[in-house]
This record gives sequence, C-alpha cells and structure tokens, in this order.
Amino acid sequence: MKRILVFLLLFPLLVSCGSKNTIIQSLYDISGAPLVYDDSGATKTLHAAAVCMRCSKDKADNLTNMVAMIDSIVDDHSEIDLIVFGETILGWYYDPADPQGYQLGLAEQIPGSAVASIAAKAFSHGIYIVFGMGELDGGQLYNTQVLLSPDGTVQAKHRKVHLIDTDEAGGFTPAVRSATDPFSLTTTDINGIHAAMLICADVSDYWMATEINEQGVDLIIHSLASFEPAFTIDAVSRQFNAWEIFANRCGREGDTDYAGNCYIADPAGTIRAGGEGAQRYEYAVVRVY
Amino acid sequence: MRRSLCTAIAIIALFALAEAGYPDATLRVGTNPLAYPLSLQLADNLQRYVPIAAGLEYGFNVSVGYQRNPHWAWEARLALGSVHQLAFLSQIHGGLCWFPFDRNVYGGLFCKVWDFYKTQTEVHFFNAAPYLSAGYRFDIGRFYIDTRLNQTFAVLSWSSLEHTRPGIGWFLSPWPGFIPILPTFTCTVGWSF
Repeated sequence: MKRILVFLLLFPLLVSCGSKNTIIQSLYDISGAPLVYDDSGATKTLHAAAVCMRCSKDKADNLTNMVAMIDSIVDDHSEIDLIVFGETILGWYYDPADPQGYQLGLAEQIPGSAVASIAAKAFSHGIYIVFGMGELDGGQLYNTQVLLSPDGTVQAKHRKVHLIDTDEAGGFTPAVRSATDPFSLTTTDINGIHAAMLICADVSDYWMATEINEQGVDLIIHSLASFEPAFTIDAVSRQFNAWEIFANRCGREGDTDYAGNCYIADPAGTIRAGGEGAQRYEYAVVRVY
Repeated sequence: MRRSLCTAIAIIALFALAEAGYPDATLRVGTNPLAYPLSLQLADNLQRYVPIAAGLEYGFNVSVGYQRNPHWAWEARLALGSVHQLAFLSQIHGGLCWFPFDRNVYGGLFCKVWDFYKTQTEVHFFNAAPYLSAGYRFDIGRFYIDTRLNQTFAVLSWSSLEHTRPGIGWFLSPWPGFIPILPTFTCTVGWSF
C-alpha cells in the first residue's frame, strides 16, 4: 500500500514536462456528434474554396497546377471570393534527400515571380488567393503564407511561428512571437470578415491562440502540410470560435503519404465540405453574423 | 453542468437510501491514478496517448461503487481537470455492473456526461454518451484494483455556442478516420467499506 501511494505521488515528477507554449489537442477536441450551426441570419458572406493539391518536386509544375485549379474553381463557381492553397505549395513540403537545399531552391522574395504569376490570376478573376511558399528575406528563409487581393497586390503575409522538426531541417527561421510584428500575428479583413492567417502547427502555439482569441476573429485561413486522416469534428474552429478553411496537400512525397484531408468548417466545428482523397477542392459559403 | 451534477448527486443519494436495507452491501471508494498527471504539462507523446489508458479522465477524480449483492453493483464517477491550456473538462459517469459468476469478472452499462469548456472563448461543449464496459476487480483485503475496458457507442452533443442546435450520432471513436473503434482502459484503485 505504501509503495502504491509513493508511486502515485511521484508519478507526475517521473514524466518529463512538455513545452508550455505547445497545445497538444486531445481526443475531446474532436469528440462528439456534429452540431447544427444555423447561419441563416448571418449578414456577411464569403464564397470560399480550400484546395487539396498534389505537389510535384518542380516549382513550375506546381505553378501550372495552381493556375489550372484556380481557373477550374472560377469556372465552377463564378461567385467565388477566396481560394486557399496549402503550406509551401510550390514544392514538396519535405525532401529527405536535401531538406535545406531543396527549400532554398524553391524560395523567393515576396513579391517575386511566383507571387506575380498567381497575383495575375487574382487580378484577372477579381478574387482573393492565399498560398504558402518559402520566402527569402534578409538572408533568412521563412515558411510564409501570402494573401493576394483582387487588385493583384499582396494584402498580407504570415510567417510561420511554431516550427516543427521538419521545418527546422528545411532551414526555416521562425517568426518572432510579437503582437507588433505584422508577419507573426497576421489578421486582415476580407469582405468585412476578420480573418487570421495560420500555417499548420501555428495552431498549437499557445501565444498565438491567446492573441487571436483576444482579438476575436471570424475566420481562420489555415494552410497545412498534414498527413493526418479526416476528422469528424474540427478542433481548430472550436478553438477560435470561428470558421476555418483547412487547405492541404495529397499524394506521396518521398516517404510521406498525405491523406488529402481538406475542409471548410463552421464555428461549431461542423465540417461543411470536406474529406480526404485525391487532388480536388472543397467549396462552402462562409456566413458570419 | 451544475444542474447535471446536482441531478447525479440526487440520484446517487436516492439509490443509497433505497439500498439501506441491504446490510451485506459493500461501498467502494476509489480513484484513477493515471488521470492526475494528465492535467499537468506532460511530454507531447505522453499527453497524446496516456489518456487512452486513463479512460479519458483528467485530473482529480473519484469513483463511488455500491455492491448490493455479489452480482450487482452501482457506480458513479466524477473527474475534473484541465485537458490542455485552452480547455477544462468536467465529467460524471453513472451505471450498473453485473457480475455473472462468483468471481470478480463483470460487464457494465454506463452513461457519461461531459462538459468540454473552452476557457478562452468561454464556450461549453456538452456531450452525453452511453458506453459498455468489461472488467475485473482484484480484491486484496479491503484494498482493490479495478481494471476495465470501455467502449462508447453513441453520443448526444449540444453547446452554449450561439446559433447551434444539438446533434446525435453513433460514436465508436472520436477519430474514425484514424481508428474506427477506440476502446479506453481504466484502472481504479480504492478501498472497500
């Protein structure tokens, strides 16, 4: 009996401690039955598409693919306002052969030629486009998400704050956690809807979560490179009490298989359009009160 | 949640009164030791996987069982704790265990109600889920160790979030895309009176 009591008291001390700034989502975050979110009285709308793209190692192929996807979405939904692509979508997320050299080879300054070619599409269609890419600035390499406005200019850019080991292996530098840094805590308005930009594991960053929740946003624009299978409940939209556009990739890249989990979820965590599978896009109307 | 808690306590009190005429009955009070450290900041992989071995209970918890005769026992559980930096979890369970043999093997039918409270957005996500259990209780004098597997099969969910209506569905796993059926394990240690 005494041994058991000693074990119970010492157990918390025996386990090593995790980072206080990293939120580890629990199974409770994705548990339950989908709730019905009634947005019939909402006053602001945004027609949005989350793209799940199969990436080539070659940047030119991916730019061609992106342009084709944009044209296809506009053909299908002429009312589209916003198209979101995944994280570092100009190439593989991680090349095990030469992680850093590969990412440096893809990276560009912003604005640069890749941004110019997608910005031309944003301008010609009169829509917002978001995508992720490696950004070179001041001798540093950043994992960046760019928001292009309908006039073809860069409206906002966000640099990933919460890097994971594959980002570090790729040579990326984290953005500094500072509420005054426009690239680490990036919020912007789209059609009157207040949106925060996040890249993949940024969602696990306690500092970012707190800052965004203090501001209060309507929409999370989330670009990822995630191999996780589809969820029943979206934890991120519940975390921020906001809509979420979750844009990802699919297919095999080196040793990694991406399941193609991609969706748009409402503030109750209910997935309005989404699933996993091959290259495609998910479309939904974001309605905000 | 306060209303659910009061209702649960009232039901337990009624059962206790109804069972007062069974002098051979046994009262058991226990706790799930694995749940306590889960409310601390553990290493990432421990934080991800240990909850499955802790019956998805976090933090302070107490289990009260009432063995009316060798074949039937009532049990109620309460657990309160932080799940991570942004969520606090309150859960109550209540149910019945059936011991079909003169051994300590049993099967149980329980209902679990939990409030997953998002502390920053101040939104409650409530859920009620029935679940089945199968277990074995080791009696060591008055001390006991109760081990069991639990499997939920349906869930009713509602929330304090504006503009939402309840949802209901089958619930064999929180993440069916990853694993279609996810039983959890619970170990309770305690004392019989």
